[in-house]
Amino acid sequence: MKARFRQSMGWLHTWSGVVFAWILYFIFVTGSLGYFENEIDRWMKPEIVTSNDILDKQAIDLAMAQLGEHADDASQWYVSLPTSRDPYIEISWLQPGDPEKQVRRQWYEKPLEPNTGDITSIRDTSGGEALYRLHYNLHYVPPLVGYILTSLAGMLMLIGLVTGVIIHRKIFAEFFTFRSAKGLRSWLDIHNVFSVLPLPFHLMITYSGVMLLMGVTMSKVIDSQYGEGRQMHRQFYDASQLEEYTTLATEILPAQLNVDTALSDAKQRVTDQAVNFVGVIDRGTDTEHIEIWFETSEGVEFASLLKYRARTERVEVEIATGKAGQAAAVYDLLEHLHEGLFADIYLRWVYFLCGLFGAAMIASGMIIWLKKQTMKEATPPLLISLIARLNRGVLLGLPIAVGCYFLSNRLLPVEMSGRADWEIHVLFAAWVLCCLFCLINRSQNQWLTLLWSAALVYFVIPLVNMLTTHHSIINSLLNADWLMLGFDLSMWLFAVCFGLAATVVSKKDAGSHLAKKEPLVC
Amino acid sequence: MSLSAKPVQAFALGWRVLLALVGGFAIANLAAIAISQLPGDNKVDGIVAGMMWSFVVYTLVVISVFTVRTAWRATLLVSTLIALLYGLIHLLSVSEAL
Repeated sequence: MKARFRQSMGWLHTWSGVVFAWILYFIFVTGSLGYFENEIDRWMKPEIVTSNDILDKQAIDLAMAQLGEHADDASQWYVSLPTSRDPYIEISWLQPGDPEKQVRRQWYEKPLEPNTGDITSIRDTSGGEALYRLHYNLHYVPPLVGYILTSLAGMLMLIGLVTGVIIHRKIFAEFFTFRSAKGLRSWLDIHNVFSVLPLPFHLMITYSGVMLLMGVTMSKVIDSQYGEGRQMHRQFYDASQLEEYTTLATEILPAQLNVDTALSDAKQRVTDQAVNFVGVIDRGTDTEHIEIWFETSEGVEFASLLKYRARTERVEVEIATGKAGQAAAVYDLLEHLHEGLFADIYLRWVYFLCGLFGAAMIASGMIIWLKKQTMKEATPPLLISLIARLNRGVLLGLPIAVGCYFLSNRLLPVEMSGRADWEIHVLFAAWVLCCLFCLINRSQNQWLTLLWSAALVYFVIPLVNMLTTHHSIINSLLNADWLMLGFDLSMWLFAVCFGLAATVVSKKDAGSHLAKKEPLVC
Repeated sequence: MSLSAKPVQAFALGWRVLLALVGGFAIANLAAIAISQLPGDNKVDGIVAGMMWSFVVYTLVVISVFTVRTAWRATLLVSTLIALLYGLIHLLSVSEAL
């Protein structure tokens, strides 16, 4: 019974992993990049002028003047103050739709010049946001289809993880086993290392990922238990996310309520954190209030939000104390764990690496499956050899494609129309080209070619940055622009990693030719 | 239980996959509804809890469908679970109405 049970779990592990492996790999890679969304964004908007030393009061005065000028009819205003992750002032507002003037209802985000207070004109870019959104909207399909496909992939991943734990009886003993240069055995060991060490992360990220889309995938539950239709679902979402507040009276008179008075009151209440955002919500209505958000790097919970509302006698401040519901509190915690917004720069790298380990786990699993298929017969069937070749293009083409995405941000003409969309098109075009190359080219050196191409692309990125902007590595160092510098150095780090990988593969393959052993990768 | 060329076995395997995916989804939905109807003062939070548990239920059902010895038993398992959950939901809605 036991052997048979393990065998069927092995089957389930294999197939739940293989069927959506490429989508899962894509989700893990682009999702991991999402942990550096703000940093990528800053690099992709090189026109932004950073300012760390401006006073909050000055920044807010500049921002309010611009908002009054450009967004007087908007119901919601936000000012983002310089922080270590986003060291610049940014204003954003919700532009109301106007069918007559053909204005779409949408959010605008504009960085400000700290010296003049003017809006900095920046290139049209998809930025870090579109890159991280790829991991659940899959870009070219309608959003609903994207959510359902990623959820399905997530469910299969969850099943793959649980069955993976079941089939590895001696999971921790196996973790410390590494048999190098043994072909399939080595790949199994690699797969185990990438899976077991970050297993808590993999379980957390997969479960919470599926959970975050539950409003879409499990919508029938809301239909039957709460109400049908978009309106009711919206209402359900708001009701389920309800926050509990402690309300306190302040010294501010209702007539005095403005962003400045609210900010100075908030700073007296929260002394150990920097202010991140200031918002004016529901402007011009009865529910108008001011929100003060503090930096979220202090804890997993977003409890550091203060809302100021004018009442008849005094202005009252509402301090969020947590979600009203217990399940909602767990949901909230898991959401924050998934997004990692609370993480400082070190933990952010841990998140990023764990995500890449997830991608490596999927990639090595796919390679193991292909190796087993090709070992069955002397000449593998056409379908398998096609999948094997496509697999190389998918696995190594994606990092190359992301590199090309960054390059396109610097190389596409600044005045090009639809430029932001074209950056994403470049990403997918590069990926498809890598896949085509692997399908057409019949040589055994595809891994090498792709690894060296990836190394080259990532090596070139900081150089192109230097040639097309004034942000050379030296300049970034002199101006203490750590985000720009960090991004460029990270690109070189990736280039070195791909170069090292290529060296290892070429050495192993040279060895396997001589000894007539199986090649390292299939 | 490997992929076999024999048509009967292939059919049995395909049936199990269908049971796991579709049957599992149905059970996950029913379990979420049942959980959301458990007595409690926060109805909305109950629905959230139900939806969150549904993915755990889904995973367990898929694994169970592939654990049992025959495709026939898997069918029996899925239909029994659906029937039980239907019954439970009915009971809960009756007790709620009282």
